[in-house]
Amino acid sequence: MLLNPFTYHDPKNLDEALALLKQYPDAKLLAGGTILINSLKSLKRRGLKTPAHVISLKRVKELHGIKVDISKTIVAAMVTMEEISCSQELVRWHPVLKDLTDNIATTQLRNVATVGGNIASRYTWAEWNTCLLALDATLTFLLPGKKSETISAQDFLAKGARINGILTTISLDNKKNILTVYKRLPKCTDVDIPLVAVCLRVEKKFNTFHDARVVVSQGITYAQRDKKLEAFLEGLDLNRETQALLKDLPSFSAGEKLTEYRKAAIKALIKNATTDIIEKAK
Amino acid sequence: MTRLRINNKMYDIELKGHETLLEVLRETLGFTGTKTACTEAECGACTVLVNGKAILSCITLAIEVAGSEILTIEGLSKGEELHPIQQAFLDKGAVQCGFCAPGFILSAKALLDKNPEPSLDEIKRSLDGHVCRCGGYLKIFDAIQAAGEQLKNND
Repeated sequence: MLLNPFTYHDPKNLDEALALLKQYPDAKLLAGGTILINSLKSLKRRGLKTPAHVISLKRVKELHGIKVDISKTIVAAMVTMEEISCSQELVRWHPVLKDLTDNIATTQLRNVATVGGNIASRYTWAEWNTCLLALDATLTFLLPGKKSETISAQDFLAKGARINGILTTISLDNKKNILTVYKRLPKCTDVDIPLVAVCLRVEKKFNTFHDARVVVSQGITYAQRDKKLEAFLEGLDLNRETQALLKDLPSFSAGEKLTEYRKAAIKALIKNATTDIIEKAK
Repeated sequence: MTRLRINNKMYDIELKGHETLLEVLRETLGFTGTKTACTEAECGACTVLVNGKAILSCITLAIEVAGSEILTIEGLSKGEELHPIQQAFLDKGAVQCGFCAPGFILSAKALLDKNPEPSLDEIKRSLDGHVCRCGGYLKIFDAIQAAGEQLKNND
């Protein structure tokens, strides 16, 4: 057997799922399974304790679907990477999410891996968090007792403790004149996770950039915004030549303790992403 | 009892919640064309189709796919008549040791069902979750292109 025995629970709606979570607070929530099932196998192999209860979210109807209107995009937590790539409405407002999901892992994994699983796993290399920070996303959790908690992606990553609830939706503002770029440098492993990744987001007003977000994921710590780089992009005058603009590009400010290789990789990604976003804007 | 629909046939099985689809296919039902290799979602040898999509049976709980249409390599041929993708793998010499072939063939089926005329890039992308230790990738790409043409002509 690949897995130690556990009791499998199959709730059909959020009420049932929350009741189970209240009854079994140490239960593991199963979304797409691409992270959890392998983690459980690893625990078994190492002779460590494995959970007695697993609550599958697959058939919880409220956790499926993408809603897009003129002002908001709401992605339910059990939406798969493949569904994101195929959602023309979502991609029209947030093309960066297609760039992101098209390059995550492999076809078989993208077919089942969920947005909620990627975020809630809180792995430092989980790629959705990098883009969600840049897009000012908010996450809504439902806690046992049906209390709802909505927090920014930034606060979610900043919170040390995991939230003992169910991530239900990811909410994004739909705004015009927003440009985003996501760049990643893959590790050379069988399952592709990024060594480093960068997401840039700016609002273009006339010929300048505003409200910039620069998010850098070093892979080994949670993604974080870089205020120095954001300040550089703020008010950038696009009438100048791209090369002239890049001349003053500052280096990544939180990179002092990184290896030279990782520093160089981040520097190159930031330069590529900045070049791309300037060219897009022009 | 849980009912699984595999290769267009129903199977009523006493499933335990922690049993993976890989284990149930191979050990309970004898569909050994689905291969056990890394068991960590890295190699693609255990690929099967669930509702037409390629998934990895080593990280899928069998109980989670109850009610879905599961296709293994055994369900592809019609008796002695090979599926055009299987035939193309033979014709193009795309099978060396053959261990990875069932997974590659099923991913190719998922691709060609959606897109009968894939570009080389699209073929490579659809196979990004497979590893062939013999290194026979180029012939596999050729075989899938040939199978696409064959399937188009059959239509």
